[in-house]
Amino acid sequence: MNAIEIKNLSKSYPGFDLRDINLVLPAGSIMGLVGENGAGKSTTLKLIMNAISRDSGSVQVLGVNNRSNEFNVVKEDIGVVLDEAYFPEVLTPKNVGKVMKNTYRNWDEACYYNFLDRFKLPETKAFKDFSRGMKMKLAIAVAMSHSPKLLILDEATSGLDPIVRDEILDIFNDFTRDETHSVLISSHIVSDLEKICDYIAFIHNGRLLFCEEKDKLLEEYAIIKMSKADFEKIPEEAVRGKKVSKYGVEALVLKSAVSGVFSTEYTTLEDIILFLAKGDKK
Amino acid sequence: MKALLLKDFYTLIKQIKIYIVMIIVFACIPGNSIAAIAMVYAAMLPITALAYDERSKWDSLALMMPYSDRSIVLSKYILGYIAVAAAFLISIVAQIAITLIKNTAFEPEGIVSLILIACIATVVQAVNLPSMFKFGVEKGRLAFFVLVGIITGVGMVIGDRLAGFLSTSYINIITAMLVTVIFTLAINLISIALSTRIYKKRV
Repeated sequence: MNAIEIKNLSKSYPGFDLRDINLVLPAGSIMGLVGENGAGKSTTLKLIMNAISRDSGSVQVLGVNNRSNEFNVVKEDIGVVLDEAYFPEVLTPKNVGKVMKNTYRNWDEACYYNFLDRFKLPETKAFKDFSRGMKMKLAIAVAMSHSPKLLILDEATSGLDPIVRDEILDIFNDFTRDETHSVLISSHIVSDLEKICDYIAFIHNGRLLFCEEKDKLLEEYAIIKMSKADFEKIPEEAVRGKKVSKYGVEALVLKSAVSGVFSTEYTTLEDIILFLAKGDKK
Repeated sequence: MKALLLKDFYTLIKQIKIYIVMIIVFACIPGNSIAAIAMVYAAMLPITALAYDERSKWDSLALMMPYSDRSIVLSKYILGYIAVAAAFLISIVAQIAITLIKNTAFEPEGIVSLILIACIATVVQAVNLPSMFKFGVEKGRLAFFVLVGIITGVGMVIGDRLAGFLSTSYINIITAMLVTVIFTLAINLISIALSTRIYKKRV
């Protein structure tokens, strides 16, 4: 079963247009949603959760249409962490636990308090006195403590130091050891996504440029660095993006179109994203 | 629903403590005008809760959780009803206590007045909340004052005629109370339906 299936999803705001998004997140995998600020990542996540109305298209989450009445029951199985924690500021983690106990049928109090302990979050300190990192950890503790089958994470690791980020990425990774568990994570930190994701979906200016297996992407593309004269010999259809400077040309190319003829370098996900987003930059 | 009420309770706990002391003090002062202030203030508590929600952007998170639109809206109404009911009960207990201390006869008219005041308080809430859900607390307050202005204007125009009619008609107090309660229920049901519709039509 697929955890998420999106078909031709569109949503327009004045000055912004998310158009024809199609993506499938297979159960048991982690998909990274990447794109610049304002590309449409958060809008896509809100549309998946039916938190905003869509103009057209369809969304199935854990096998259920997200506009059906049944979707409220499905939400019990979805853990969500947004770019901010958004709990009322006077609440303490203890208060949050009691509210969530009455929110989720599967609320696991022991698991929640384990996370509070693991993240060193004081149980009785008001949320407003938390640092950004602590706030995000509390949101993650809540999202993980009601036996979710799907995690939807919107910039959940931003604002966290590299050590904590790594610890949290491990938690997400462990989560998908169960083949019925899936994660959709949006992030600016492409290195985080490269570390944990099976699939990468790249949204640029409200359009989905690709949704591919990460390993396939890294296999498909390569970087070449050469003089302008040599670059002229590269078939145009092989070039996906280039940076021209007075010292030469650096370009993202399709490996299959140039391999054996030109020497290529291994590319990172960040290179792929940057070249595809910027296109031809002189 | 219980979770949302609990969340509002924790959010408003400081105000609620001050408020309970205030109602008890006010309720012990003879006369209904103070009880009226206490109950109308109680009906304003959902607005304070909404203001806190707005400040923390709680709605962004609530929409991701298994709360229905209806329960998000209804929880604010129920919060107001609980607060008004609490103010009502404290006022009645205080009035009975005063009559016992002073050793005077208990006047049932006092309870009738309190019921009418409770109805007015929930009507104020019913008029208030849809504009809060539509425009947010800041703009909603402005919309509420405009609405109150219009109602007062219309009231002034038809008030004299109505008073004239009532002075020539025989309406007993039970009938008047029943009509008020039915009117209050109707206004509240319409308000809840309207607020839910507004909330569902979010962008």
